[in-house]
Amino acid sequence: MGKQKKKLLVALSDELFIILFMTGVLLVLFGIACIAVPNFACKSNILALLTNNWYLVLLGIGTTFIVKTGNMDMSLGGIVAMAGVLVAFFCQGTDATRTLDIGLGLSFFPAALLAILCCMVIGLINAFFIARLKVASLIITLGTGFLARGIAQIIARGAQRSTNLDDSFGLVGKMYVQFGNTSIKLSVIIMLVILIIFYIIEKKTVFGRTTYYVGANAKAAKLSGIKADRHLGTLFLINSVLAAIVGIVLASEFLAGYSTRGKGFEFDALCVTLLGGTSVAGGFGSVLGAFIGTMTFSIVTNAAGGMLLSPDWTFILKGVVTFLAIVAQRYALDKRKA
Amino acid sequence: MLLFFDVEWGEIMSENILEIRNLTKEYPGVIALNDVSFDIRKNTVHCLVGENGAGKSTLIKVITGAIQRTKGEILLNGKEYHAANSNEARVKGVSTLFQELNVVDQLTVEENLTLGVEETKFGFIKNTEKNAQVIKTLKSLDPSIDPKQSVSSLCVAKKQIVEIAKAVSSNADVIIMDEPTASLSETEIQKLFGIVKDLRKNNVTVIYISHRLDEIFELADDVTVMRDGRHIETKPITEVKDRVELIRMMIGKTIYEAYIPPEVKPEENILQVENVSNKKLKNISFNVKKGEIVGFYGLIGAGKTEIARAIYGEDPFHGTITFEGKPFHPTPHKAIKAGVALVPEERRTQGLFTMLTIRSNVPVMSMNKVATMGFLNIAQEKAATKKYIDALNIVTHSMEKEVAKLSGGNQQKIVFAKSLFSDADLLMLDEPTRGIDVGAKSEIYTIIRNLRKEGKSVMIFSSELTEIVNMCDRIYLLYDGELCTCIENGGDIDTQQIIHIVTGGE
Repeated sequence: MGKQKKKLLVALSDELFIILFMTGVLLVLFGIACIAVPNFACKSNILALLTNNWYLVLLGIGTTFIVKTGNMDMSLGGIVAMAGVLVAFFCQGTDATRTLDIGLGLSFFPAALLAILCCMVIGLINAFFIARLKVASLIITLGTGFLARGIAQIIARGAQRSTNLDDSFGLVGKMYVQFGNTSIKLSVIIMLVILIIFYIIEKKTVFGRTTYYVGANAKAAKLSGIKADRHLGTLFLINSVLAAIVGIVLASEFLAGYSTRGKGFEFDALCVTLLGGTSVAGGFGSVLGAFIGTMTFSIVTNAAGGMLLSPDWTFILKGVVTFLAIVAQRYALDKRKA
Repeated sequence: MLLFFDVEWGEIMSENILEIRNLTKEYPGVIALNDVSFDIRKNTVHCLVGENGAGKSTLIKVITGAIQRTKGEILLNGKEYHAANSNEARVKGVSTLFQELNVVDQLTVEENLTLGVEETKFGFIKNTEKNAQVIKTLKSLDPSIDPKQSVSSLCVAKKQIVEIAKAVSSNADVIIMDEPTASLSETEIQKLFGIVKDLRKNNVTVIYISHRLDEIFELADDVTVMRDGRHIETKPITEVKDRVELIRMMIGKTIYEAYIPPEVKPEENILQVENVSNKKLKNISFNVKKGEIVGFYGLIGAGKTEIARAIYGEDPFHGTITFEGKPFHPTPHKAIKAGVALVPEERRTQGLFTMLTIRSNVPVMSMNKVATMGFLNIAQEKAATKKYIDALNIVTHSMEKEVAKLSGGNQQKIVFAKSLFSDADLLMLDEPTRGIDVGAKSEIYTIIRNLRKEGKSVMIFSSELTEIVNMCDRIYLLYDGELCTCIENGGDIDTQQIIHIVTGGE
């Protein structure tokens, strides 16, 4: 029996092994939280784990693809803010006196589309510099991140655009879908749909496979006829779209486009990506991991709140757990490979 | 009487600085050094010659501690010598000038010279006697180099002089120079020779490795010939008659595995290269016919890889390349589409995705064959992989195994599988059997011959003469970026003549 179990373990791919390992970590943390925190295990709280951090899964999906190629995208937070402020600005009515109240008077969906297109310009700048001019992704995306946030700041006058908005603006962000006697936020469903789509892209398409090739050995990929640079550019473009969707849905949920929204999101996204087992060296990882990483992250934040720790302590708890989880994961992988 | 004997014995002992005894280095499937024994006399220039793969580099690596011996011993000044790494070797008196430069471009000359030997006080670097000594050595070698100058501003030869200064000033008894003239111009070479001769005067023994046989005759006191990992002979250079004799010693009476001529005589041209030049290549013109194996032979750095890179669109060039009657302006992507595939020189860094599975590696060069509308067809992918695992006899229990876990020979077969899967009409094989064992080698030769039978064309770029002579229908010889001559293989190739040409002889 034991031997058979061992055989099964060997037959697993490293990727599946890491995902199972991190699911184990997730369950252990969940168990600890259930014991330590009163009412942690109730249904509404478990649902909240999913609901509170849906946007992190989306950012983690894009980041997983980027990190898998050995790159980073630091412009996410800025794009989230820019998308939020822009969609609000596009939706605000034209009939007001204060500049901060005047918008373009579009309805929500055209406005959202336009905001996504604007964010894709940032993504294109990233793509151009990284794929064409071979600038390190860390550097250019730090720059464009500031650029995007700067645009958000200017349009929102350093604050927010929340007035003169129609009720329809909050439709997407505030909508709930009823499943039996449970109601689930629309944004969570959007997240799950996108997660499934990207999982299929990752595992079942040439595009997804190409990401692994480029990440595993960019040189060999090029010599094997893969247009590695173009692929990398496309990934950064996709990432900007995902960040824009996050920004727009968040703006709808809060009925406002804040210029300070999304600060540090790029680090949170990186964090859940690494928690999900994706390797910074490239060529290894899965979007499924980003989902599990986000849930781990959620449990820690949620449990910290439940234990009545002051929010100031959340960061330390997050830091320690994240670090230990990633170290444990790398250790397990090395051990397995040896 | 007894006392007299002792003195005598001591003197004999000290006459040899290095004594190598039964030194053996085995790799799985390959014996790189086979029971090598010889002596190196004190204060001589000792040249080491042999074909590529004769074991020279392995020997040097064992002496410098870069790799560890399997068995045997080395005596330095009569005492057992063992180095775990190059730093330890230096401390014990053996310095090495590697083929690749080891200077740090961003630092100044002075910082480079003291790198690794600097003395510090409270973490700050002290200006010591030693530093002054090193700089004095440098000045004596080449007064035109300013110690405060950044190394990046120096030309290759001067960088090398910086390295020599460092090696000399470390009070080395032995300095090993591995192909030091590979990147030097004629005048710089003469300067280096002067330095080598000075070193000998200053009681330093130099072990000098070079493919350029003329240098051997100019510099050497003694010469050691190696072949196939064995020691062949060590003798004073005065006892070697001429380069023909030296070449004969290098090649020996190796009986080449018989060359098999093609069944059908190749007629139709598939590739025509005319006047291709770039940074490394000078006016290269040649052609390859359908169903032909064409070899390119030359020493390391003669331009073999560069020809392959130019055809594959990796390096820019002037001149024209025609493939199947059409002008060819390649990128790797376009080359593969047109029907040209490259098996690159370094399989791990250029050919394979070692962390991915065999199944993911095989189809990479034409993904559209295992996909419909961008969606992968895993069943097709598995079938294709299975086909190549069987056809190329790749030893693995599962196609889901990561390529990193396979042996070198099997890894190389995966690189072949990749190229074969792309249905190329012309395969360019750069060092197709480097570092793989004899069995896998002969299997790869069979694969290549079968390709010829199918009417495909193969270009082999190799620094292994045996391989070239066994496999190729025609052989182009390269020296210093130029094609010297083309030899038709009639099964009676004069290998001595080939060595003569590729080492720069007329």
